[in-house]
Amino acid sequence: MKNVLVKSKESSINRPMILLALIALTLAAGALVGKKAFADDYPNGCVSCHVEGTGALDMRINAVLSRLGHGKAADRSKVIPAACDRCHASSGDGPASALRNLIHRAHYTDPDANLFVTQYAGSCLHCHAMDGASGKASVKSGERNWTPIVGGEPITE
Amino acid sequence: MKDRVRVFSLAVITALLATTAPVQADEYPQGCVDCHKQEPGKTNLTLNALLAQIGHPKLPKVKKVPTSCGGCHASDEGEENQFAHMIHQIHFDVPKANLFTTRFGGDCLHCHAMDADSGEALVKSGPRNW
Repeated sequence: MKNVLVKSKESSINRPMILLALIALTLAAGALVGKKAFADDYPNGCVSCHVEGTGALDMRINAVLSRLGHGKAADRSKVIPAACDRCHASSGDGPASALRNLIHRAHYTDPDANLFVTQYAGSCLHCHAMDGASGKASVKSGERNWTPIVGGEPITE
Repeated sequence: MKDRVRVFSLAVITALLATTAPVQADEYPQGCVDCHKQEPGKTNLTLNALLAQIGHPKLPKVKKVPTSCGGCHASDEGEENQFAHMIHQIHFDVPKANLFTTRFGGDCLHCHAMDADSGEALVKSGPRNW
């Protein structure tokens, strides 16, 4: 009788552990299956990832560029990244270096530490779209997600 | 009790690895020929076998894939039937049924390499495997 009681107590202690183990395995399976998913979590490219966030560092493009000492040009850009082409022409003929190589470097340099690689799997299709019917790859775009400030005043459009 | 703790620990480690491990190792450093190969007991997926099935001319001059394909297939920007578009179509059309998207995750970096120093996206290549 004593042995039965002891066994029963041990079993009730381990039940939460077994449940936790099952949850952990379910998460693992979900993560592995998720890697094959084809749904587009970032349909607007840059602005789908570069958001203000909650409590974290402001990752919007204007904030990131400001921290890098980039000029106020971001406030003149409405559609991202298409508007960046005004200076960063993809032909390389603009006043600033071609955006494509710049952005690739920003997202792939130092892959062991680069957030895009470590947290977003370095997937090209977060920024690019593939039209399977035509076979044409394109760059996704979306409207800026910040309020431009000119002369110290927010601009409402 | 100890066994259950071990099982739990193993499950937690597996979950952490699956959710946090960055995908960095390149399993397909030579592009096309790393996927398109013949494995024992499986369908022959080498490019010459697949192309023969769709009536493509033989490939005696092809030594490096896909570089040598440029001998016939144009890759100029703006070209309507350019090789890049054709290969993209083959690998991305009908994504719910396409083996490249359903089994290989539709990952551009299986075929392309990113030179992080220059920011140039490249096409991987390798010697023919037939």
